[in-house]
This record gives sequence, C-alpha cells and structure tokens, in this order.
Amino acid sequence: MKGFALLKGVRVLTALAVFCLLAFVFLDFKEAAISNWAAHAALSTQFAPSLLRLLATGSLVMGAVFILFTLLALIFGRAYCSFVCPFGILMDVLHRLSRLPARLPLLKKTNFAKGWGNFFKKPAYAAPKNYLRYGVLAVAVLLIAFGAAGLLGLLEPYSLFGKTMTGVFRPALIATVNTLSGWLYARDIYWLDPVGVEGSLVTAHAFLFGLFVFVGIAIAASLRARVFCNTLCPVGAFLSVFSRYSLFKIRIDKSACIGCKKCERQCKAQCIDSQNAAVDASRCVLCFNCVAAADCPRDGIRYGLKKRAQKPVAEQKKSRSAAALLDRRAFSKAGVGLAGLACARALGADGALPMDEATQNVSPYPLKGTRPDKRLCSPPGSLSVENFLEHCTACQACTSSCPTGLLRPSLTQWGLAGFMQPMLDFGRGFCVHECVNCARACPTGAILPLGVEEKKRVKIGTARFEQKLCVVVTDGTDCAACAEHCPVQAIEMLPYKPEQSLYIPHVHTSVCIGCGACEHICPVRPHQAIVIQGLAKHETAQPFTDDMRLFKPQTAKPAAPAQPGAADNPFPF
Amino acid sequence: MKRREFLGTAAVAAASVGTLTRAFGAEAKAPDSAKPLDLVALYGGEAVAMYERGIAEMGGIGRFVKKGDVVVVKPNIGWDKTPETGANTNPELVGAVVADCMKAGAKEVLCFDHTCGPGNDWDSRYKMSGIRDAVEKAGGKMVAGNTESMYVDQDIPKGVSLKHAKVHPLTKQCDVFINMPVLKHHSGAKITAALKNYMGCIWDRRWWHQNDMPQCIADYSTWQKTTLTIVDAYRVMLTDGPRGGDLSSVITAKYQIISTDIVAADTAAVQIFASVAKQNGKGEAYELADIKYLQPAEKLGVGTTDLSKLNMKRVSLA
Repeated sequence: MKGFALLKGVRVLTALAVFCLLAFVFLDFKEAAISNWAAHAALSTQFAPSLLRLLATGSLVMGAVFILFTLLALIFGRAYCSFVCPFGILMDVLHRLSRLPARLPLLKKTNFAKGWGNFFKKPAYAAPKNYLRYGVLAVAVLLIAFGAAGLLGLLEPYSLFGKTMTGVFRPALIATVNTLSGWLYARDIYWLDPVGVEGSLVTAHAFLFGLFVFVGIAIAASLRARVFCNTLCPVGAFLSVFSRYSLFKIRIDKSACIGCKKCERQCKAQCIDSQNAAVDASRCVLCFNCVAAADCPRDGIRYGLKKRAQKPVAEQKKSRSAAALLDRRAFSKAGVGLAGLACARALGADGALPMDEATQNVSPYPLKGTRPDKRLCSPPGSLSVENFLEHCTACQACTSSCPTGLLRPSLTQWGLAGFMQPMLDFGRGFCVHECVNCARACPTGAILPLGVEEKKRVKIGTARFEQKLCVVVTDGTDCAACAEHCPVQAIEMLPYKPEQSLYIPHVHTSVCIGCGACEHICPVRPHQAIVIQGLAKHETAQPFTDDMRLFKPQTAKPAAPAQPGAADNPFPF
Repeated sequence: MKRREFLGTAAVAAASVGTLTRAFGAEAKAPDSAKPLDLVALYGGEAVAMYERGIAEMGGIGRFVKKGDVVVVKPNIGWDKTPETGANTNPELVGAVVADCMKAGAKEVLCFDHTCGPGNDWDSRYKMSGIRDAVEKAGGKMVAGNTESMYVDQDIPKGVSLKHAKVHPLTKQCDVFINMPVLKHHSGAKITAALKNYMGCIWDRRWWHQNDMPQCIADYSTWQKTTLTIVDAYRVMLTDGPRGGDLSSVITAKYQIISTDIVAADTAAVQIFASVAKQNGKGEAYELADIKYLQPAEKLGVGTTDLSKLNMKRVSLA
C-alpha cells in the first residue's frame, strides 16, 4: 500500500543517514567528524548511551533519547531498532547483500542461484526465545546496577557496532590510504597525506574482537536477518516490554488472511505467524517491509491502531504459550523495576564518588611491566576513574576521535570487566593540549563535555620524575625532552652541573596536568625516567607563574661584558 | 685587483659615502663587495622586508635557485602554536621565500617538518603555525613528515655519535635546500636555530636525546646539504622554549640572518639571543660555549664560528 511504502521509505532514508554518519564518526581518520554537527547529532540518537548519560549526570535532558524511544515504543513500536540502531541497520545491509548473488541478472536462472536461494532462505516465523532475551535483559540491568558498563558494551548494539568499525574497518581504511600515499610519495607525488600512526594500527585484541563481532553478525544476518535483536540484544528486549502494548501495531485482518505467508517471508524479525494470522509486536522491529511490499493478495495486513472488529486476534492472545504469559507479567514488572533503578541511580549520581579521605588520590590501576608508581589515568572530562569505568560501554567513539592514538581499547588493564574500555597509553602518544575530541565524542557520559580552556587545567595525573634514571645523570649529556614538550611549564630545568652547562628536570606537581607528553618523549628505556601517576579523582591544576621559578638565570649569572659593537651598531657582533 | 688593494679602495669608498650608508662600529669590518656575501645580518624591519633586502644583498635568490630546480624549504613547524608565540618560523617569511623561489623558476617548492605532534596530530601544527596557508598561497606544496615508513636509511659517514639516521626523503631529493629556523630558547639545547632545526629532518629523535644530543646535531649537519640558511629572529622566545609559555618572554627583536654558512648563522644567532636576553632582563644570556653543538660542528668542518672569517654585511632598516 502506498502510504506504508512511504513509511518504509522514510525508515530506509533515516536509517541510511544515521548509519553513514555513525560510520563517518568511527572511520574518519582526520578526526574531523566529531566537530561535524550532523555526525554529532547521529551519535546522540543512541539508546543505551543515553540511559548511561542519564545515570551519569542525573539530568533528564541528557536521557531524552532514552525516554523518547521508550515512549515511542509504547505508541508506535520499536522505532529505535530499524530507524537509528546502527548495528541493526548493518544487519539489514548484510542481509540484503547475502541475497544479492541469487538476484544478479547473470546468474538469475542458473542452478547456482537456485542453490544459493535455497541456502539463504526467506525468513519464516520463529517462536520467541523469551527466556533468552529477557535473561539477557536481566543481566544487562544487573551490569548497569553494578557499574559494569564495559560488559554491557559487549551486548549492547551501538557499542558492538563501534567496536567492529574501529577494530576492523578503520585500520583497513587507514592501511589502504597509507599504502596509496606511500606509493605516490615514492614517486614524488604529494597529493595524499599519510595518516600518522604511532606503533601498530590496531591492537590485536581490538581487531580480533571486532572481527568476531562482524563475522558473527554477518552469518546471523545472512541466515536469520534480525535474529540478534530478539535474542541477545538487551535494548531490543527492553523495548519489547513496551512495544508489546504499543497503540500502533502491524495487524493482520484474520477474516482476510488466506495464510499465503507472503508477509511472513518479508519479516526480518520472524515475528509474523501467518498460520495464526498474528504478529508478535514485542519482536517487531518496525521496518514496514511487510506492509510496504503490497503483495498481500487480500490487502489484509496493515499498520495502525486497533480496529474494533478484531476479536479473533484478542482470542488468539489467550492461546499463547505459558511462557509468553509469564513473561508478560514478569517483564512488565521488570520494566517498572528498571525505570525505578534508573531513577535511583540518577539521584545518587551526584554523590556517587565516595572518596576515602584517608587514602591518597591515586588511581588504583598500575600497569604491568612499568614503574610501580605509574598509574592509569582516565581522560579529561571523566571526573574520576570510577565515573569513567562505570559509564563507558567501550563504543570507541573517543578512541577513533583521538588524534594521537593515545586512547586505545584496553585488554585487562582496567580489570576483566573493563575489557575494551579505553585507556591512555602514553607509549602511543600524549593528550594534545588544545584537543577535547574525546569529551565531545563520548555519548554515554563517561567523559563529559569540556571547554578547551577548562580542559587545559584539568589534572588527570602527576608526572613522577626519577632522577637516577635520567640521561642527564646516567650519561652526563643534555636532553630536556620532557621540559621541551610540557604544555603547561610544569617542568623546569634546574642547574645540575653548572660548570658543564648541564641542567636537570624538576616537576612543579601542582602545575602538572598529567597529559603524558613528558613520559611519551622521554628517551630512557626500559622504564622512562618520568612517568604519569594517574589520579583517582581529577583535580584542577594551578597555572604556572613566574614566581614559581626556582632558577632565575639573569640573577644567577654574572653580568656579561658590554657589547663589542659601537653604539650605532645594532648587532652584538 | 688584489684583495688587500681592494679592501683599501673599499674603505676609501665607504668613508666617502659614510654619511649616506651609516657605517657601523670600528670592529664591524666592511664587506668585500667584489665577492659574493657569506652572511647578511639584518635588523629593524618587518620579516619580509628584511628578507627582501637581505637576499638582494646576497645577490638575489637567483644565485641559489636555478630554473627547473626542486627547492626544499625546511622551517620549524614543531608546535601547535600561533605565529605570535614565536614557537614556529614566521609564516609570512616562509611564504615570501617560497614565492621568491617560484619566481626564480623553481620547478617546485616543497616544505616539510617532522613536527612534535604525536600520531596523526602533525597536521594541526602545519595549520596552526599558518605555514600551510602561507606556503600553499605562495605556490609551494606541504609534504607530510610524520609517518615512519616514508623515512629512508642514511649513513652519516663523518658522524661521531650518529652514524646512521632515518631521514626524510626530501632531505635528499632536491637541488636546493633552504633551512629556515626560528631563533628561540630551548630547554635541552639552550638555544635552537639552524643546526638544531635539522632534528625535524629525521625520524628517531629519542635516540639523539639518549646519545649525546649536541654531538648528534653536529654529526647530522655534516651530511645534510644546505644551500642557504635563513634564521628568523623577528620574534625571539627567551624562556620556556622550545614550546613557550608566557607571551611576555617573546620579544619582537626584529633580527634576521641569511647565510651560506650554517654554523656562522647559528653563531650570529646565539649572540643576538644573548644580547636580546640582556636587554630585556629575561632568560639566560648564553655564551657560545654553552651551545654544545657549535664547536663539534665547526670541528667537523661544517662551518665556522669565527665571524671575522666571513664576508659579512650588517644592514639596519631601522
């Protein structure tokens, strides 16, 4: 039907726009996407991040998207799943691609196409897996309650999308660009600048996990389209609790239905049971394919409000399985419970950072194989290590917007529950003074928005200098690489052996912001002479002032002889 | 005409036009006008005006750049700082030199630096320094320098500490190499100008920091071809270099040095730095011996620290 085809058209266009913008965010190696308003807007349409942002800030405005899509589910159904969920849209794309070979004009009438078509069958109705999907939802609720957002990010669709894009496609793209650029450069053609990368393009675990997710979802989508959305997806399960009762639904006119299964074969969610002329609204992802196809011979399927003369459908409900009945009661309660939990956490967010006054404000995360006083930092804007880890789903929006590659997905450095949550790896780079990309990118509230000037004073850690390791001491030669790179003048060079004009670093700890430039550039190995000790809770650094200087050269040095040149010679030689 | 005879004539000539040209103090030897100049020191004008006057004194850019030459300009673009901070070479000056080379018939003028930006942040420095804009407007091309794979292995046969380096391909693939540093304080090298600017030509600076950096700086300069050195001392950062802190220690000193001898250019630059530091009571008035790469470079035959050996001219535009 025409009206429904239009609805589907809107769905497809919205989905493609959001998908492309989000792909842009994760793939853009120029790190410009994050300053693009449209890309930024696309980032803020995501469901689970919005919930976490609500919890992190306690502000309903921050959680507007979460509230909006929940309400939409109650009125129109699971709009999130087909319109803006990038992982779902990726499944749609992969599903279509898997059908492509059988449709190619060249192969259309061959046995190959037939065989292919038989293997990748059209979808058919499948029974709901309620224990599984609501079990996953329950796990997700517990993970949020216990502040294990990183583990939630291993189930939640937006974060899975981010992980596969940054783990596999981003490095592939950069490798392609750099190969091409290198080939051109070798021929003295400087059209394409290479992408600067320190160390490897991608860490092994990020690549393998991204690949695992992509291959897994490619197989699942090829064989059973949106099967993920109604089995493992916690967002799908949560929205299904509401969409079950939505006002607008896909409905089959039982009196018209002849059980031809045409609509059923269109259904990616496998929720149309044409045998019983019923549609499971809890699993419907609102793609409008069934109603837009216009191939119902009796015009018996439509999307809309309930019509009065539909008693058979109401009776149909009663014949549902015991499991469905059970989940209806239990999980509408679960929905209420989750909402309550959300509010409770939101209210507690302000005071959610208990700091033991007795303990020092030092991050409890050391890094294996490095100096023991070196501790992991959380990025500026995250307020504290705890806030960061509790709200980060490891979607990798920040790692793909970090211009130096400093932010990298962790393996177990944040503990097992922190798998893939970004960490600041000063071996790769340092936090660029003028940059607030990660704070701008983060959709979950793990890193909160931050102005550039404000950021320049956020203290995430303190440089710890070990004099006996420094080359000035060990080799008696000049270096000062750390002082050279310090953006806030926290490192002053003090006379060490004045007769040899040899100077040694000194750290003004109250000025240091913990950006890691000094550690990054320090040439001493295996352990740098200067390392960053992350703070558990961020502080505000003091600006450097002249009176902090310990060494005042002009007073320390004897006055130099008068200039050799005559009065009218402006040159000292 | 013999050199000594000529000097005599020149002295007479200088005396006769003394009121017009404002001759310098007694120690300042008059240049030999029959021979091309080795060094021009300028004072008192805007950066571009000083360059135009200075290069004219040197015999015009045509003395160095021939038609069809590939010219490489190597400014200091180390930091994500704007021009008024004096952390990078003055972009207007770089633009003027690029335009001049193009006018002289250069096939192309390429400009690069291995900036101090980690990862993919190098581009921000090209942009913030204003140098990308200036170079591209003048008809030159910016070339990236922050990918290890593009650097090539090079032996440094005369090197004492530095025997091998991974160098940027543009250090070799050119007919003319113009070194365009900015003069400023440097926490490690004390003062950075021309020789130290070559640390932006190589990949592994950490190794230099680990292995007697001043010697490495001198070693590298034995290999690097340098056609011309132009030291931008229009703004001089006296403290907290090379990145810079408070703007109050960035002095608008209005000096420039153009020289064919890189060591001499640095020697003059160090003296200018010390004099500006003394006048302003800021920073340290370093002596030549404090700058530990100068003597080794001279010893390796790269150039001279004895300015009296040069055919030098001092020009004041003030």
